[in-house]
Amino acid sequence: MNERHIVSAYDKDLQQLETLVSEMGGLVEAQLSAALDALVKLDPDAAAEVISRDKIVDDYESQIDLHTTEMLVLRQPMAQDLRVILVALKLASNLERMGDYAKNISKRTVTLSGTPTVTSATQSIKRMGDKVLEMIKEVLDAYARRDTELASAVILKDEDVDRMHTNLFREFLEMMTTDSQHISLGTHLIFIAKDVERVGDHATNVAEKIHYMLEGSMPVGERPKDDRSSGILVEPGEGE
Amino acid sequence: MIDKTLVQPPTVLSSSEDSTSDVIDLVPKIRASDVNVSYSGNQAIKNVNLDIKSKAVTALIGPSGCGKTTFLRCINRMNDLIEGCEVTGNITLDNEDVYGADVDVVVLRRRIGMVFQKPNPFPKSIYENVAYGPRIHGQAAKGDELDEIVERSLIRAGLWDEVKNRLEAPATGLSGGQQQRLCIARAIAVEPDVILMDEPCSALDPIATARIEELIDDLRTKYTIVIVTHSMQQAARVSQRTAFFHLGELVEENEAKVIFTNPSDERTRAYVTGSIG
Repeated sequence: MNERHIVSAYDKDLQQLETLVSEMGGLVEAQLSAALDALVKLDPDAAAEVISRDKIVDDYESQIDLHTTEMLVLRQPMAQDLRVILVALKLASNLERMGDYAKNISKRTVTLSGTPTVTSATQSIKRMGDKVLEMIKEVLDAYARRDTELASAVILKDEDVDRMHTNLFREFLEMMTTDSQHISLGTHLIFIAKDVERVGDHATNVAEKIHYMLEGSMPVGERPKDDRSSGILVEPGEGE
Repeated sequence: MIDKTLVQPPTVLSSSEDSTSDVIDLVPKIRASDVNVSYSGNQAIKNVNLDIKSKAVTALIGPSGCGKTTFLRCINRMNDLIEGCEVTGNITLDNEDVYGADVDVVVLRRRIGMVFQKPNPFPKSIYENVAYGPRIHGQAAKGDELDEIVERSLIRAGLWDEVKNRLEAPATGLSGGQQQRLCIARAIAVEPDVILMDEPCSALDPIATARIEELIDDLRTKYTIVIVTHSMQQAARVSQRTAFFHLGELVEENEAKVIFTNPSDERTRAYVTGSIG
């Protein structure tokens, strides 16, 4: 876009805001990726690093909050500018939550490291995590490139994540039902899987906000969902 | 037990404008059709079609020279006074042609009052400024009635408490903001249907501006108001409908909240965001 504001400092402010959001998004993507790697390797040191880096994610959110508040007051934005600024605020709060989930995963990784685990189970979570990472990457691309179509495509992907979560939930329940030795492990894994699934939900929120930012309206229609884990019961003996 | 009030869907937040929504889409108070204006052959307004809703504030915005003031001045035929000004097309007030052959311009301007950029009180007393209109239009038979009109108009204009003890003092001794409210009192004293305002706050400080904006919001329950303003923030604050003019054309007219959050025309968007290129 060659268009610019008559007051050029306004463009710099907007550019700075978008840079902050993009950097925060990149950091959150890296955090989730590192949290998943640490989980698969059961590496407590790598997990501890994720936990300590969460402070930086939080700092980004504070920075964006401050910057948007100042812009609202000093620039009195209108139309698309207003939407860009409001959406930056929303994106920052969604990204901060996504960062928290990466941290939560790493906290459980620290707890699980040194205990016997089931490699296939963490690998399954990793697969779902990779799907969510793909959503994050695409949603950040949609933000940077101002691409409504890409944002809308991300919204559709959340259904796959939901389905994967439902399967994982059943898998972990069966694991615990089969062998009571696995109850501690399985409980932690269920929470971890839920955390990953929630990151996907937030990535979907981000995609919706980007749609609003670009088009001035929320995407039409229901968000596709297919998380049926709340309806699953596994009776003793069923998983054997 | 869950408190019943907690399980209601959220009340749809209505901004103050929605109080007019029941009347806003009825027959327009003013309808402009294919209006063209030229000054000595130079076209200032091109084919403007605009419906102005009753009992609402319509703001006309746009860069200098876009024709917004010219259009405003067509509504009560102020342009008749300008030599070389030619107006074609049609403007109706309550379905009656404003430019009809049998229209008495004095009566028209009683029905469509005007407030200008610079407060322009007569060099007379505060009382006389307000009483003048109703007296020449024969709207008050006795002195008591006139007193009543003056008091009522000053109350409506939010000035009564500040001037009630010095009604005989010269109006020119009032502050700029007070003078502007006096001009509004003067305009409403003759019971108009429509009030046109041409940048009524541009000579006022922010406090006096806020008082006028509060007054405009109060007056719109009774009058149809059309305001020209250079301040987009003011247009956003006071108007329910906003019309954007550019190079003599009416580019876009819509609810103010739509114009300022999601305008449909690129030119409107560039103007409200302060962009070029």
